[in-house]
Amino acid sequence: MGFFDALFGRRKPVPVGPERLFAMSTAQVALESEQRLEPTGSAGICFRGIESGPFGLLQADLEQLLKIAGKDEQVTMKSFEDELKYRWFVFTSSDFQALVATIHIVSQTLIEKGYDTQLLFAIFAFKNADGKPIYWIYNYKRGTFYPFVPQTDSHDKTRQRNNPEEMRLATVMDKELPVEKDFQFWYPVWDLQL
Amino acid sequence: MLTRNRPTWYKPDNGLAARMVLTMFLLGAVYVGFVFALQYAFHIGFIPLLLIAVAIAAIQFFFSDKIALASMGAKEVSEAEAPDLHAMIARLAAQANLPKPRIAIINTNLPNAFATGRSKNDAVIAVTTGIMQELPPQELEAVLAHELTHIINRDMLVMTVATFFSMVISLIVQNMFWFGGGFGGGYGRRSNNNDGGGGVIIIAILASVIAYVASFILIRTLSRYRELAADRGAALITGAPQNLASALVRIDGIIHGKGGVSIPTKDFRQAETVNALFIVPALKGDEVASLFSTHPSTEERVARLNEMQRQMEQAHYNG
Repeated sequence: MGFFDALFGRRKPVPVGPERLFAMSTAQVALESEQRLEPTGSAGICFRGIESGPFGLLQADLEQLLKIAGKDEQVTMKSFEDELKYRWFVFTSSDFQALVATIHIVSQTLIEKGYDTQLLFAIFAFKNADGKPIYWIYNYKRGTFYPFVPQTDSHDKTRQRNNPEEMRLATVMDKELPVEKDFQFWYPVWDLQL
Repeated sequence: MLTRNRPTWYKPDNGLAARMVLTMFLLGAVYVGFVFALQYAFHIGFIPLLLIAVAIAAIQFFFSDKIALASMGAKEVSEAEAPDLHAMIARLAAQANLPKPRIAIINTNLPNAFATGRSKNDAVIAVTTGIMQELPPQELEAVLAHELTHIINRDMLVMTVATFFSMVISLIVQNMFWFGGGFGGGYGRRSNNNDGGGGVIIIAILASVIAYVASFILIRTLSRYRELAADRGAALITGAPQNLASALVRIDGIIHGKGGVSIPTKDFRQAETVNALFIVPALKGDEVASLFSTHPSTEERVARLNEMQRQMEQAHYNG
């Protein structure tokens, strides 16, 4: 972004990238051994609503894809719409590497089918040594991960998050993951169903 | 900082910050001018001027805590009035091997805190009601540890001495030219005839102004280093650099709104339309402002605290 781009309000189209998602498969070792974060076995993709006709076809395609890809590893998929009218694909598997690969290939498929602008984020669920949930969220538009640590329970509407712990995780995982450096993109995601 | 976008309800604050910088600058310029005029009008020598400088520095040193507290509208509170705050500061002071400072509260929504006082035994920590409401306990603790470190590091004394030397520098510079003229073939004596005297005076004025500008920048640079040192101390007392980093980011967000470096509270899905407009952050023009500012930027402070956190954890795994 040059000075003149800013002056004239030009904005380069943001490339959507799922490639850096794979950083999560190697980072998981450090997350587990050094930070005591264990994958819960769930991960999800969130995107803006697609009309039911095309969406039905898309869902069938993806199920077919998972069947072919998941011959060895068992990955199950569910899909639903949340209260904010966003669509979710939520995957569960005891094999974390398969989970990352699935998130990647599904993201890739969505992009190929022209839903790149609809893609919002991917999310990986972990739990810490105390069993509290901790999430890593992948922002497709920026190709970066950031941690999300809810402090309050999901039913608590004060919705406090543990910013110091998030900043700590981002700092110590800086080498293993493309961590989002700009705090203003660290959006929380509440009422998670994964 | 000065050029950042701020939400409308904080706009006047932007001007206030600029005015304060200008005021401090002018105050110093007036001060130099005043001393210069004294010297010119009454032919007071260097030693009396030095004594005046010492007297002013002493007044500053002995009364500035009271002046600072009074001008901020800080009210000292007893243990009964603010038991939680007293308990928190007592705990931190014990940990830092400090006598417990006096505690004052300022009734404003702006999140802020400061420490003042001549020595460890005569220190006051003042916090605003805003900072107590906005920060979670662990982050408030980190900010208080930062202020305690200012007391440990004797920053009041250091800054008083620094300003004192800047005063002395400008006096020396003036006198060097004043008497230097005399050494240079009796030119100074002849300055009783108006033309030559005017030239010397202009040079002297210029020199003192340059000396003043230089010391203004240097004192502010020093102040920024003291702030970073206090951040470090706070991280060491609390053992958690990220608590302070998070507090700094939160405070920055409250003070600067959208232009700050805050972590959002809005859900990703609800922020998405806004998000599109914020992919490229607004142009930042912090370089000049930071040269004249007493505090380093939040980004720099957070980056340093992150580095500390990294080193701490590395030591943990290697050890």
